[in-house]
Amino acid sequence: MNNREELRQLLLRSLDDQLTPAEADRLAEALRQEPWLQKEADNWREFRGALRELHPAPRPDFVQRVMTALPAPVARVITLQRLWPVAIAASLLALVVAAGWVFTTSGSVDKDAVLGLDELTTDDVYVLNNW
Amino acid sequence: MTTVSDDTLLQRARQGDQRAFAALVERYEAQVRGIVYGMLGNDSDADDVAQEVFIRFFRSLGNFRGQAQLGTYLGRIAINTALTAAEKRKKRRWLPWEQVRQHDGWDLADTSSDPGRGELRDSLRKALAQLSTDYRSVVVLRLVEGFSVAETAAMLDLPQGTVASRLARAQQQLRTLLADVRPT
Repeated sequence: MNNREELRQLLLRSLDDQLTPAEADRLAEALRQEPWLQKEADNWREFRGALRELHPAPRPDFVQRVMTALPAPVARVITLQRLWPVAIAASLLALVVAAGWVFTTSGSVDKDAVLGLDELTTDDVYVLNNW
Repeated sequence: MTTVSDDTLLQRARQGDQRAFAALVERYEAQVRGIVYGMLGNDSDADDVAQEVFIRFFRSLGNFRGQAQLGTYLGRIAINTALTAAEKRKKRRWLPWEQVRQHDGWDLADTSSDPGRGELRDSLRKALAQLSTDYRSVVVLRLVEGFSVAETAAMLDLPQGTVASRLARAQQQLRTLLADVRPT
């Protein structure tokens, strides 16, 4: 690679901050001494500036377009997925509260207490049997 | 005015807050449209593809756990979605000539008070479209959209050295192509 080509490569890499400190010093010195290299640097800067102008103009309705196109059922699934832990926690809490109420009223949480059978009397059985 | 962070908006969006998701779309619209336009040209399909990027992002909200910057993550989706669209476009070969011209993406999306500058942009778009997708993607991300070499490498999942060398070769190729396509 001849000297000119080498300097061109250094110049190009410098535009993307890819030079080592030694290379940067070498390029800086060459830019001071070589008018053709300075012109090349100006040309590259203009070229890259023109590329930046290819960025599209903003579109005022773009966000609305996206929001309208969003899949609504997926949004609901995402919400339900987030609610599962809350639903499970609420169910467990309800069970604990119910068990606490049964214990408070019946003094135990055995099967008869939960089903309310320990509160039935012989008269209740007679009425139910003859209904 | 305090700007709400991406993390906060993401958290709200995952919980079903549509306004939070809309804020994210607004925040990254320019970046995503820029990448898609750069890869596909100012084509009527480009906005549809850019829209598709955000729909894919919406569907993957639960999967994104901050393993990369949100801009990088969206940039990756944009590049991949644009590349897929570009492949599909290549397969549309047997169109009548009038439809091919409508799809070639050469329509100017903006006008310039400086006709010379507008011609240069038009020529650059044509030259950019002739680059391979490997070269075009580094040029679009680094030189059109202004991402750093490191950010470009992260979006393309490439080593920084590879990005830098592709950039150098792509720019030289563009300058050569520009000399060929510019009107005299």
